[in-house]
Amino acid sequence: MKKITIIICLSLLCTGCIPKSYIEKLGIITAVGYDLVEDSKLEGTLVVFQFDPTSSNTSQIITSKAETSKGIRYQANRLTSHRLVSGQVRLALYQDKLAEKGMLKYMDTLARDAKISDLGYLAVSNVPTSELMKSNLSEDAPNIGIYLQSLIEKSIKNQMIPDSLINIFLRDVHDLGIDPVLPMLSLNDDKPYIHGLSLFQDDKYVSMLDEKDIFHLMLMRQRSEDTEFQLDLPSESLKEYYKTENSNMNDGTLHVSLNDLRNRTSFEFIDGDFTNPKVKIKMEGRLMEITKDIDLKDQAIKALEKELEKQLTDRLEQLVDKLKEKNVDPVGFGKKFNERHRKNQLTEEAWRSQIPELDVTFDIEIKLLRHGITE
Amino acid sequence: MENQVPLNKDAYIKMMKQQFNDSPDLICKTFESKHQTIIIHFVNYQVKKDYLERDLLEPLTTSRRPWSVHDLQNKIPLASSKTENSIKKITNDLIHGSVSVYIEGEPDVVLFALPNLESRALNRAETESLVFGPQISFTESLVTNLNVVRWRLDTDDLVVEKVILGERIKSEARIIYLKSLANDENVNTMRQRLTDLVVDEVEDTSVLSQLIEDSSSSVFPQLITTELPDRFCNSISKGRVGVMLDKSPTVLVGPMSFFEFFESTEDLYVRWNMGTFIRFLRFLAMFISIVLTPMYVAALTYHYEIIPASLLISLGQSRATVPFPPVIEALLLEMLIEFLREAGARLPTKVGQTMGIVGGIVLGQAAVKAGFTSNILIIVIALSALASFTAPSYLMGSAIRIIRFPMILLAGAWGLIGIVFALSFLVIHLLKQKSLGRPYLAPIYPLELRDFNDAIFRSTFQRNVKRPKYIMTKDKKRFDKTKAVEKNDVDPV
Amino acid sequence: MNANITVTKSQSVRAFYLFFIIHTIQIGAGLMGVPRILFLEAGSDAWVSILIGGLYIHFIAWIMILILREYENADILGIQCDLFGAFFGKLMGCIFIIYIFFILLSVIRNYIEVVQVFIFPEIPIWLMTLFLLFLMIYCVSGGLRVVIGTCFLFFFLTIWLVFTIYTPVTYMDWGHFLPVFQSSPLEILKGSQKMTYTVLGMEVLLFVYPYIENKKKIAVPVHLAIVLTTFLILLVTVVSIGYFSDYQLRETVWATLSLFKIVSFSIIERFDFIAVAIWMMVIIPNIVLFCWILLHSVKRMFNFQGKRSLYVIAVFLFIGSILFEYRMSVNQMTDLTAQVGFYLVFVYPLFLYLVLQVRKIWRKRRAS
Repeated sequence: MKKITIIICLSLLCTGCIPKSYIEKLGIITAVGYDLVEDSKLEGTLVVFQFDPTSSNTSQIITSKAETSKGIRYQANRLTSHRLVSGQVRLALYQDKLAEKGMLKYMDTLARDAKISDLGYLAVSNVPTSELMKSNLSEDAPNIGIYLQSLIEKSIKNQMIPDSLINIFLRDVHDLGIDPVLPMLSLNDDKPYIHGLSLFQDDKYVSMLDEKDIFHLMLMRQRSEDTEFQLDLPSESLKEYYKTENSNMNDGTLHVSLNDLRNRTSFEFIDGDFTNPKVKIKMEGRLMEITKDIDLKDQAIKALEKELEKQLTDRLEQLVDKLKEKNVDPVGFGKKFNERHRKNQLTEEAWRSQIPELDVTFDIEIKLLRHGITE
Repeated sequence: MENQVPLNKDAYIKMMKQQFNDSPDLICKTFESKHQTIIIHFVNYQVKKDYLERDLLEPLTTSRRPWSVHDLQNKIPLASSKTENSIKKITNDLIHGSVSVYIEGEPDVVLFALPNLESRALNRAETESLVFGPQISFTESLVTNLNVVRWRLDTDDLVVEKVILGERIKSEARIIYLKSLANDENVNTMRQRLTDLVVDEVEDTSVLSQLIEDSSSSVFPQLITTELPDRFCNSISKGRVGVMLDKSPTVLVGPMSFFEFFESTEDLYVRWNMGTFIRFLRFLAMFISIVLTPMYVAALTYHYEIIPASLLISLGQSRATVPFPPVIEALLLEMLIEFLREAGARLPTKVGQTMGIVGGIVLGQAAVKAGFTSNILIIVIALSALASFTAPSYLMGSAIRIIRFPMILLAGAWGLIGIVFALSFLVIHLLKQKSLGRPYLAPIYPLELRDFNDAIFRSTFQRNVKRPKYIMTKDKKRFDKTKAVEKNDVDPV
Repeated sequence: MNANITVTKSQSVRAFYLFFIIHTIQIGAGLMGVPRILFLEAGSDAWVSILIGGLYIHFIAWIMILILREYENADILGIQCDLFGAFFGKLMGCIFIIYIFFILLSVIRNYIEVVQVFIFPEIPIWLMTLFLLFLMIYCVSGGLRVVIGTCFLFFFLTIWLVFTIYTPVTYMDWGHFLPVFQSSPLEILKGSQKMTYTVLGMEVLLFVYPYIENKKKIAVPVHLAIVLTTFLILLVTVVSIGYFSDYQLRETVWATLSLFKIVSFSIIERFDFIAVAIWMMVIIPNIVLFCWILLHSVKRMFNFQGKRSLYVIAVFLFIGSILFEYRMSVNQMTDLTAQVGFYLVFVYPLFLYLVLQVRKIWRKRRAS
């Protein structure tokens, strides 16, 4: 009995030992945005939850300038009555100009601090993030930080963009032979949206990929399934299978909308040569929509498949050309090569220098399993 | 010699008066006939008067022949009669409702037992209510209770041992068990503990259980106190040892394991899947009751990181107006609930119920409106209070409620670390407990997987072919497996 | 000192509890950081090291059982005295005591370190030590039955953490393992040696053996425990290698716990906090068992009274825990103890067995 009393007394004594963080006294940062101002200075925009007894507005936006990201928090702390904490940061936005200088040095605190979750997302913005953060919020999200986070999260869940978790990004940066990608946000009519994909050379932002190409990239990165995508075929391609000879229907391109149910991508390096990879893609899909009235007989399907394969190959080749031009390798050809070859492992420099020399051949096989309820 | 019944009537009357400290309740009637003087003593309210008049006084007065002690015993139509020659013993019997008949000149006094026992009738159970199943509860009278038990356990296997407890004020206790089933060691332990007891008085079985329990400093009860005859008899027929105490409406059963405190006989009356479900519900309720409020305190005091974003806003907004830290807030509300419970328990039933509702709703509403507590905490506290009331054993329920307070304090002091520390402590504490020298956490530790059927789940009766091993019954098997499963198909295909 | 111990039936436990004893004492503070340690040695082939290490542990367990079977009811302390004479036997016993004391200390300190990094940077070391020591004293004072019960229950209270590792599994990149066998055999063997560091504690078998009721059945639970331990280490290592990049894994000190950072439930956003706190329940069986070994050895060799020596041990641990102030010295102590432990647990039994066999042959010859 005595022992227990002593323990209780001791415990009460030590209550002061740990500093408390009552949530109503905290400014809980949910999203941060970093912009580059005056060539070397950093401007941070913090979206903060803070709870005051009288005001029903829980969301605040704080902007401050400093040299480092921790410095921004330090500066911002002077602008609010609440203690700013970063344990709930779910989104870090970087302006493209800043990202060009390399992300890692601005991400150090995100990676090192055990308090920061791995569940946060990263994104790049081609408008200053402060504008993005202050943009008009028409939907019913509690604050802009949460809104942007759920926007990205939804897109990732629906396989519209590749995963952009902090940890995945860091992994891709550090892994040899693959470059990371992040979603690119932009503003349209004062409303944020996903504009495309930003391509990185290691941790340095170099260019943007069109939203159309995202699917193709994801196809090669083997990180997609059950996505929808569109292909445009030349109008002449399936002429013999048209149901009616209606003339106005035959004008323009033929849009085909597909649902990619399952795909398998495999890589092969011909003669063990890094510059000569062969990408085999096997895809099983479902026809969702086709803009011309086509009699979907067996031959028609076969012909359609052929056309689609040709078109997809074209697209992929174009994409690879774009990547080569920017000297980036988000597909991870280098990584694939190193995984498959025990000898002549690529070094960082060899890989980077050989990217423009890549000569990729594609071998694509599309199977249309179903085409809706109509024949 | 002092103690002997004197042959002289005046001396006798004087002595009796002395024995009763001149109590006005001692009635003394003297019948003087030609041949002899007969003196009758009894305590006014302890005796059934109508029987006394009809069966004793009438024959005594109408008979013309002189009475002898032998005649009294044989010709009076009363069942229990005996002779006694010690004043002390006579006094004792009179207190318990006997009538003494003294014939002057005889050294022996004849005693007729005509006790007028004041006891209530068998009523519905109040503290441990069942939705269905037998509804009666024990009463304060040992005789009635024994009667009920004998009626339910209709076998000559039933052993009822008598023990007298209390040094100054004595009460009668009975050890009850099934001879062919109950483990001898358990019976011996129970008997030993009862006979070794040196106390002035044993007020009630709950007091008795605290006196004989293995660890009286623990918050957890180690013997079950119940007012339900069906629960008592069920435990006895499982091979446990029961204790009954006169003047107490509850009975004791032991040895018990921790998990049996979450059992109710109702689990047996409903079908097995429902029974198992309810039983798990209670375990879950216990866990929630212990952990929920401390988690709230820990999360709001230290770990804002673990609160999901969707909850963060409502939590933060309701917390913003509260002037105290979460620990104080939680303790205040827990106190409020305890006050309501205590007030409800003390007040008459009807008033108590209204009190509970009005107090709960009005106070809760007002507290939130006034910004005194956050509304989420109200939900949390109400939930955990509700959960703590699901324990079928009142004592276990209160133990769980008590545990919450130190847990909240620890959570307020060290957050999750404090909670895990407290939970670890609790588990080790339970491991160290024993009930009548048997492990408290059986059948989980020591592990008897087969006994889970009976103690943790409530599987179909056909499955429980063997008796639970951890009770250590003498007879290992309940019935033959093949017989239980075989059923005749009336409508063959 | 008599080699054999007389144990009453009420003191002994059934053989299958050995599974929980061996498993819970092996899994503890070591598991938190094992992926990184192995990765530093054997790279992405660390899983091979684990398999080899696991096999070796099985072998040692087999040897241990063989040694114990030579006697009727003996523990290592008795066997040593029987083989090497009272003085050297007791000397070896002392080495064991010192080693176990330090391993106990390093378990406590490593866990406190983790709590400081993940949850409370400000929590004082002495306070956390007090918590753990309080639980230790409370539990060990209940005797071996309570100690084993603690291992048994806490195993079930914590094993479910394994299932939460599902989320990181979905983020794994299997390419990290390719091509296999990049590391040289020497590196892989070094990895195996490092792996054995984290599973120290198997020596508990040598101490607890006399208290086992059905001694014929001990082989199965012991080996099963080792299988589970090896599997868990394999699991966290494989998942960590797949989940983290090369560079990240080299940097992440407690990779296993960092894996939990991505786990999230609808009511608990950050599972790593819960996991680190619950890890205390993984640590407790460790502490209690080691403490029981200490207590048992001290009592057996020097006949010290139980309760008092328990308090003395606790005081020493408390002082020791405060003395190791800096991160580096904790690591140094852990490494040193682990190295001593490697020779004591994974090499010494072989020697012991050899001596036993030699003596047996010698005695036979002399008899004939």
